[in-house]
Amino acid sequence: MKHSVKTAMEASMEAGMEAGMETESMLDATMLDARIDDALRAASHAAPAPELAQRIVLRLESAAVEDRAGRFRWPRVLVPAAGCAAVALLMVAGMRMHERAQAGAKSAMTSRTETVAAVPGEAVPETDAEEATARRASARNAEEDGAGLKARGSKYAARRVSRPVRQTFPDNYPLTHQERLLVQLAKTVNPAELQMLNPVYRAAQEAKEDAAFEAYLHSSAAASDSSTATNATPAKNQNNVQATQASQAETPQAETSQEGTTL
Amino acid sequence: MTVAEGQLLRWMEAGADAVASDPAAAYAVDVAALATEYSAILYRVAFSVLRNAVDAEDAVQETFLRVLRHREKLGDIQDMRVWLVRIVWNQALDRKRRQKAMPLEDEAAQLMGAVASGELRADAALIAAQGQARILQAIDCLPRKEREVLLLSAMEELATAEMAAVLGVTESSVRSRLFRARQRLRERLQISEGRRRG
Repeated sequence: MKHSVKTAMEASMEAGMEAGMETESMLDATMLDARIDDALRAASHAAPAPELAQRIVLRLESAAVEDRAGRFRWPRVLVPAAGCAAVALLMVAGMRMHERAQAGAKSAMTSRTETVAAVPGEAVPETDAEEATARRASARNAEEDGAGLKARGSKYAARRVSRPVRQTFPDNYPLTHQERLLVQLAKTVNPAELQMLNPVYRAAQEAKEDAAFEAYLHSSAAASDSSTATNATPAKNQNNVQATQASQAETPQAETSQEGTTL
Repeated sequence: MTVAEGQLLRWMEAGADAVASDPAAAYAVDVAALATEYSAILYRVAFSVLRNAVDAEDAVQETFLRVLRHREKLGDIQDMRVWLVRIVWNQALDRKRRQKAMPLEDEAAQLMGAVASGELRADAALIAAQGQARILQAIDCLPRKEREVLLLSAMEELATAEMAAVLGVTESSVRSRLFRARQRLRERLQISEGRRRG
């Protein structure tokens, strides 16, 4: 009996303890919930600093002003930028033109060398006039036969066609026959022939030749007159022979002068 | 009339011609009116995430500047309050992500400064603030979705539907997340309390 009462008392005590623990845990949970709510409320119910709205409005006002000013900022930046770009373009174009002009001058200076390098088998012209004539003729041939150029694939020839011929002084017209003779004469460098180009010297030589011819005529006329009388005096015949020999000695000089005139 | 409303009125009067001719100025006036109306709740939302007065104010100002930049969308907004809360919420989360973890003492000091505690003495207020800071740090350790719901639920102005709109989820998921968040937080707090006592 005692044992049963004791057991019942223990059971009731255990039940009471469990109930107390549950109550305590419920109280703890409620307290925790309250503490969580307090913490969240503290975090979310913070009072904003005074005049927050006024500061925001002021900030918005300045932002709106900046926005209005920003609409005219691009043109203010773009106009000088466009001007600078235009100036830079002009400078670049000017430099290009200058470089082209310099390159044209250089190509005119080195055109002879290029021509030699372009056509290895071609005869090398000796004078500027001949070179110009040959270049023009080859350019004309190239223009007439562009397909031939392409077929040949010579980049030198294409360059020669595309490059404009620069005007030079004296002009590159072909020489006349007399000019060629003069050039040939200048190359031989014979002083006697060169002297014949002097009109004074030439006139003197011609006068001398005329005089020798006249003397020869007179002497031959005198010889014919005296031949009639030769039969009478052999001494006269001997004089005539001497005169003939003298005239024959002068003849080679006259021949050389005749050659000079023919030239 | 509040100071901000007076400022808004002065601005409108001073720039009446400009406001009439310039749509940007008119939009600015609209945004200023929104700032006057919603700056307090937006500040509280930002403070609940950032727990720093300066950062919260910066987040609110940035929010209204964003609104001003996207002012052409103002006409399409149905619920202006939820839209603004969503903007400031994302803004605050971005800032929070960039911030380093705040020490407990600093957080308690921020809470003491933010909460008006005229009823408590200084030492009691400090103890209370430290307890609250401990709970808030435990909230920060919760999973992201549960943490966000719990923080937003503290806003008494926001209904469950508005919270769902801000977070972009359904109302039922808001409720379930909120239940799980509180349960998990209780368990963690009990464990930490037991460790401190034991």
